[in-house]
Amino acid sequence: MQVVKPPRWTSVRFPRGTMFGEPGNRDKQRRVVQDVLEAFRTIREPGGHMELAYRWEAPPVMYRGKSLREGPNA
Amino acid sequence: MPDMKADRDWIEDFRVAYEHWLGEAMPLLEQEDYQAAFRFYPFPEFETVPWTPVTKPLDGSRLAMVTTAGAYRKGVDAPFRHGPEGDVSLRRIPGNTALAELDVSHSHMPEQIAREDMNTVFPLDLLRELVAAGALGSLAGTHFSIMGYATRAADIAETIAPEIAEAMTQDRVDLALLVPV
Repeated sequence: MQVVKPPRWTSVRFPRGTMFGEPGNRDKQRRVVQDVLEAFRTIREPGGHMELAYRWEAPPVMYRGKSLREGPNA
Repeated sequence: MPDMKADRDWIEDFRVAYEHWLGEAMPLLEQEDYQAAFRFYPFPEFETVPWTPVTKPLDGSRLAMVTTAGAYRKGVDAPFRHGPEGDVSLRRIPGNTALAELDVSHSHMPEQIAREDMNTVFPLDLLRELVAAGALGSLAGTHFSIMGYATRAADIAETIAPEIAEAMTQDRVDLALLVPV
């Protein structure tokens, strides 16, 4: 994302294609969305970034016969 | 929204580099060896960060979402095309759409997760809850969906992005939430 240079951005270590958390985990998804919206207010500098501390808490996501892993810290 | 634009200096050079890349990469793309193909993709380099300060509180702001998950309305819109260069096209998702009306067509993500729960890539239900609770002002009349696998980046920048920006301006959107996949 540093290459893309978005105005402000958040990151989370969920596997690709699961940006708001495990399917059906409504409480956790809600917290992620709330944190993301909060970043609109708290990030004050162009390119500012906030890393969310959530971790994937379900079996690995299968894709093309492989398991997608959590991403690294940004 | 103020008339702020991201820098465009990269587009012309990108188009030239892209055609060169495509010629070399096409055999790899056709073999689905994406790791090798994108090792020499001419990723754009930007000089500046576009910036519009947030001036309104959340509970007075209108928000639109852009997902790159390839979401589309089943039986209404065409799915996104899968192919070596992906698909540069836009689907508009009316704000009153039920998530059960959506499917995804994305050649480079685990589609089954979104089909199980669309909120994982397009959290419209959760945003509606926040509006109902008074934490967020309102949601836009239209949200936007593209497929993240679209190799012609200059076409996205020159056709899709301005179309989205214009629609958001007309809809008096304050906040744009881009959800990349």
